[in-house]
Amino acid sequence: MGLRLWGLKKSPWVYHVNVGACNNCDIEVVNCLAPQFDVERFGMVLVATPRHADALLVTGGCTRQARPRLQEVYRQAAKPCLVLCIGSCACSMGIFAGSYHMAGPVDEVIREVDPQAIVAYVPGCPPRPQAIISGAVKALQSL
Amino acid sequence: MGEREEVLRQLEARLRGLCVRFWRRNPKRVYVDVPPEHSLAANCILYEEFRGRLATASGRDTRDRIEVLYHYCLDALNLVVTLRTWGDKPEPEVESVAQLFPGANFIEREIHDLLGIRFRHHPDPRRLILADDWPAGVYPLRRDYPARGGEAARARLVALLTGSPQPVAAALGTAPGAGART
Repeated sequence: MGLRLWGLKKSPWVYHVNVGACNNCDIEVVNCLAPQFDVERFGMVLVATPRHADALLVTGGCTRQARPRLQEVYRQAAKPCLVLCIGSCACSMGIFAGSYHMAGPVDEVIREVDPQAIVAYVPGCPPRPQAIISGAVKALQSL
Repeated sequence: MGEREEVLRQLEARLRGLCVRFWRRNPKRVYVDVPPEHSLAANCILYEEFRGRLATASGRDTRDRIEVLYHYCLDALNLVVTLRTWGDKPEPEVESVAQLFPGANFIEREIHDLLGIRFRHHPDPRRLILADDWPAGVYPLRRDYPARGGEAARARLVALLTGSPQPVAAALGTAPGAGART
């Protein structure tokens, strides 16, 4: 295991991107960071810019307006970069599939930029904080 | 409630000549159909004389015309009055009430984006909620806008759950650029 990978697994810094969520998944993400679940004890820190991020927490089915912005955020993130699709909408567009303003599920939008992107899925509407943490752990273990 | 009855009688008298229909659906809910040429006057009466609060406005596509419904709350009376006006297709137009009060500004812009009804004399008729690259003249909540997606979406969900995600944006027609109607 290289030093970079060791560092990534030891303390993944996360950046939270909302690309069209109803805010419910975002509340659960914030719940992860708040004292009750406190993911900082696993070294996960919320950062303010994708340039510092090791993982993107993406919530919401990607809207047409958000698509180029999500791709730009992914381009700016340091690689290797995990993408965590939080919630049913991010995983599969959920009930909004086929809607007029959807640009596609998050994984396809990311893979348009980087076909090799590492994408993890945490389904649920919204997923519980335990599920989000479990998803992040599984994604890190797969590296 | 006597007071509500009294106000409703006054309102009906005041709007007589402006409206084509005054329908008391139930004691708390009244619908008034106002032809587009009187829409601004009727809104002005409800807002300034009866102190109605514009809760929201909504739009409907009824095949041959686009309706705009302004919902006014008269809170003290526990009463909602809906003013319904319309513009005929293919180029529906109504007078903007955002000239009267700025609260109607954003909701009229949203109705214009989604249903394509033009609000005359709107103070700021820019696009509000659709994406910047959305083609002009395409209105997604019109009845003739093609609906799609159910089957392919279900197929994708199954593929995801069974562990083999398939590209589906193209199949759904949700990739940007697709779905644009000319």
